[in-house]
Amino acid sequence: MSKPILVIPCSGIGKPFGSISRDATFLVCDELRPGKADTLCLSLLVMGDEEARSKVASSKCITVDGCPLACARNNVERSGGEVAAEFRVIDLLRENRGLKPRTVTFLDEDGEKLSKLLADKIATKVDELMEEAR
Amino acid sequence: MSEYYETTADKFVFKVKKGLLYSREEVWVAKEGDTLRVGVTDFAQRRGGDIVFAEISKKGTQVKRGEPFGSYETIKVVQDILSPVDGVIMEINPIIDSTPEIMNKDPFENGWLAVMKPESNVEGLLSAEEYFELMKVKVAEELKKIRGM
Amino acid sequence: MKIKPKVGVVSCSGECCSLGTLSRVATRLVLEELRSDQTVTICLPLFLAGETEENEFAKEHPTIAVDGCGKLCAKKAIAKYSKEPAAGIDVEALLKEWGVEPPGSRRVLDTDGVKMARRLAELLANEVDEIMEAD
Repeated sequence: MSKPILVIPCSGIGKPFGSISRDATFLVCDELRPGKADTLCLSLLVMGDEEARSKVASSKCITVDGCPLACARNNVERSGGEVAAEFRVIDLLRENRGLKPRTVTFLDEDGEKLSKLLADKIATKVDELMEEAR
Repeated sequence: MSEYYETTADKFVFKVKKGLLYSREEVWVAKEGDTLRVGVTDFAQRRGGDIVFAEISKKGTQVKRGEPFGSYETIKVVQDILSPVDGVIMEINPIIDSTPEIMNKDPFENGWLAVMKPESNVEGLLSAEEYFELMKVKVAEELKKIRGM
Repeated sequence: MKIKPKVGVVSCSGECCSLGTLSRVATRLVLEELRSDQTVTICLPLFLAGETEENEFAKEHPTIAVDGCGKLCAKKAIAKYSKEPAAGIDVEALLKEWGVEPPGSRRVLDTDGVKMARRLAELLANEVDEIMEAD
């Protein structure tokens, strides 16, 4: 069986987008594609944890960023990882203009909706990457 | 020497580019011969948050001082952008529609919005030094709203 | 009149488990509810990207590191890229001390999980007070 695809969120704490990136990642890894998608701590990777580095080096990575600052993508690339696909919450917001997620600590209704939409897209990408790996 | 005046509040640094003029409605103005290049200020982009959409009136549009020539939208607000002068729009930034976040990332350079041919003078606009003082007052008032960003 | 600097509170990102989520929620509760005038959150991923306002703030102001587990990513990152934090908590160790199990879900905290987060937030608030008193 192929190695799980690594889905790495930015988890930015200052904006709703960071919470959405995190929530969507957990949805994919724990509910939509358990066993096929996995995640890891971005800060552990950047701080040079051997296990995290080894995982990233040997897996396809999907980064999930909240905003255009793209901390997940930048930090994964800097740590030697190859980003097979990237998502930004802000791009999904552009596709769903009516949604206005406002809260950070606990997602509000619009935040949850956006998270689910994003999780579905990531899950589809996980399937594609798993298929390519066969 | 820095090309910006800067003030810090909490972890946020607010910048005012030297040598430009500013309207009280948060638009900067750069004189370029007989035209003016305009954009939104650092304070404006930071106060609004991540810009998701931006629209600017098309080339050839007549604009009036104090009236909207465009708008931008974040998850918090839809904000009109008010023209600093009477005039005509000669050019609009071609990347604003597809990449509005450039207004957050680089408000004074690549995030410019339009080039205008003015039909009024620029009297009444603030110098960078005058605007900097005004901005510091606004920052103090707004600080509580943007804490946690 | 002496102006007291604000305290930066840095949570680990903690995607691995519910301890990271607890750290994050506790940090946000301090910022939003308990010490909103005295604290600022430092976004760890942005901080790790380097040369940002987060880095500048952490160099000049006291910080508290909130780590989900004994790997202490937040504490180590702050020490490496700015200066030693003024205080730090290891949530995993604290929960053991309190004799409580971590929340079951890393995605959404249940009622007990939120209570745990609030208890942690109170502890953090006290750390903020101590730092501000000492300054």
